[in-house]
Amino acid sequence: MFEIALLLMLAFILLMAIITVESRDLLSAVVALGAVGFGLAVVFLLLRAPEVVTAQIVVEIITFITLILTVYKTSKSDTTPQVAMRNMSPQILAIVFFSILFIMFVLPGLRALPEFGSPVMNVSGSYINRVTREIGANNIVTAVLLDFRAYNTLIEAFVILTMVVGVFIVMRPKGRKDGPNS
Amino acid sequence: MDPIVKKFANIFIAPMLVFGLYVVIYGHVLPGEGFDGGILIAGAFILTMMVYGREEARKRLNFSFALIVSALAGLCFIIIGLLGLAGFSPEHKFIFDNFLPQGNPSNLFSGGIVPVCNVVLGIMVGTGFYALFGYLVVSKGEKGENEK
Repeated sequence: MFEIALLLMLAFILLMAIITVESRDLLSAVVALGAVGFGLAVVFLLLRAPEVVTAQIVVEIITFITLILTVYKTSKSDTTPQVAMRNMSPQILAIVFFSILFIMFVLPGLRALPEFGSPVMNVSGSYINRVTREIGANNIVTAVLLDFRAYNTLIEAFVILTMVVGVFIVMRPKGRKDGPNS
Repeated sequence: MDPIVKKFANIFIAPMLVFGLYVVIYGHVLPGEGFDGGILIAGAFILTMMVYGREEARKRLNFSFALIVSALAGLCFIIIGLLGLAGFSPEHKFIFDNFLPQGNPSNLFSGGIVPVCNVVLGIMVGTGFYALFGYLVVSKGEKGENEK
């Protein structure tokens, strides 16, 4: 039952992603993209990961509003010229060739994967034991992110700060007074 | 903006802000952490900016001030890591060492440096995203002056 619900949600997400790519009306494409994001949130909820669900929903809402405003202010239909199928034979050959190559390399890896629902606990088992003993925080994900992997989180946060500073430098209307172009 | 949007925004901004603060402060006990709570706080401010316009949002919280607060929070994060390296516990000294007392699990004050890092990260991400949107949004009829 659980696997059937999961597969149905994944099929829904795939359908919505195809609609997003193929739709000529940009507003419906944005709505279909939102359906992809919220379907992914439902999948995470089925897999019991509430951490990821909160992040997914918040980011999804912000991007959804921003994309809706962008479509509202600019253009409402996709005007990319479509290429006929018979003019695309080299691309189709390349796609077939690389799909065969991809499947050849991926199939051995898929066979080596562990069974669904029985993960390999090499690293995570020791993390779970050490969190209750050494840190004492209830939420193991946050404890791993902010204690064992705090260096990683620090760099992530500074990527965001660098992005904000870069946007500030690019978007300011007036340059420096003593700059070369003034 | 429309009066309908304004009415709904007036209702929703305060609960969004309170829920963001709740996620940040209880990040080490319940699901969620600094990133999610910070983006929720920034989302409340961004909603204010979209409904009432950029000038009105700038009067409440200046974008450059928000960027400076974000950078100072990042500095606080580095200082917490270096305090662990300085060594308050005698047996292990490394960067981001958990030097605060452990406390009772599932209490608010537990987990050593984890709640402190959560609050710092929430401030950093929230003000950073607010400043990002403030610099990117240029509304109609406005020349776009980011320098005040």
